[in-house]
Amino acid sequence: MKHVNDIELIEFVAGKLTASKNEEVREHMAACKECSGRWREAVEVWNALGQWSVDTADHDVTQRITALTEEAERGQKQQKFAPKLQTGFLSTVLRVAASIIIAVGVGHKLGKYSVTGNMPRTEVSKNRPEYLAALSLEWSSELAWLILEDDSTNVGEQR
Amino acid sequence: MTNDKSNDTELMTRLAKGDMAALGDLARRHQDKVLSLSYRVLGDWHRAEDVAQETFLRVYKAAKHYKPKAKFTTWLYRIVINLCFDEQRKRAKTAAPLEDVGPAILAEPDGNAAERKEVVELVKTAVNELPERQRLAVILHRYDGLSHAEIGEVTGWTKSAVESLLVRAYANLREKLDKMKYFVE
Repeated sequence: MKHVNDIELIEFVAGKLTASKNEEVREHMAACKECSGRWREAVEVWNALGQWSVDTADHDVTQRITALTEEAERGQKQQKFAPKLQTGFLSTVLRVAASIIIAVGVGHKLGKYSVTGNMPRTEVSKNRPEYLAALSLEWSSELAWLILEDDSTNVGEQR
Repeated sequence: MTNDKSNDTELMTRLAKGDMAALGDLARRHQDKVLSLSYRVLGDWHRAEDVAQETFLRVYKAAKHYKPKAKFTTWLYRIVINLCFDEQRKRAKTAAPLEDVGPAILAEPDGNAAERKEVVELVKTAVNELPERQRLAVILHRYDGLSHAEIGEVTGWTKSAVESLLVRAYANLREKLDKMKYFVE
């Protein structure tokens, strides 16, 4: 077998090789002085690094996280409340609009029963146009220009 | 391991539904890993705690969109590493705090304990002196037990890049630690 390469050696020391590969490397180490020397150095480095242990016992962040997320939750609830206000405003607008529509509709219906609406129409003479009757005016030649104003030929004749 | 993975996924599902107790469970379960990784990368407890806190807040924010494609811890480590990079960038812009300057002061030099403490300090120095990518690769490999593929997933580097970084990193460490062989033996 050829020499163990660097990455295989690292993984052999880390104990991460597959069982078959591990056995293959072990057999080679037993027969190869060079590789077993490299292996001893690698183990030394590995063990030296292992002495740097980190004690996290005094550094509990769980409580900080829980407190922060609770705060965030409260914030979210407040945000949820804000759209509720908007929805409330919209429903008020819709209610007012509906009230106006109903009022107009009812007024229109009730208009049929109003006193003035049922008054008999006054006879309008053929000589007295409706608009004059509505203004309680009698036909007179002085008013004729109002009617014939648009007709330039008639205006001249009437006056 | 499979059970752990499914439990993490279950906790994420519960968290996505608004169960805040699930976040507490996730934090309790993973905070040691997150804290030690961020401490080893940043070398400062204050910053490491900030990173750990921010990591779990990001987990909380991402819970609704979380899809268990990879191992939960791989995803978690990716968040930690990104936050550590951000911290390092911030740190590069500001002056180093006083507590990080100079060698650590070793109290009570008393027999084996003091010697061991000194070895730890030297190991820390040796690791911290590595180029950034090598240092990160070694930390994830040696202390968090990640495979090459997992380191690749966490950092975004290719598997061959990870292997090359690991080989160079361990070679550099061997050189550095050779100089302090007295303490290792």
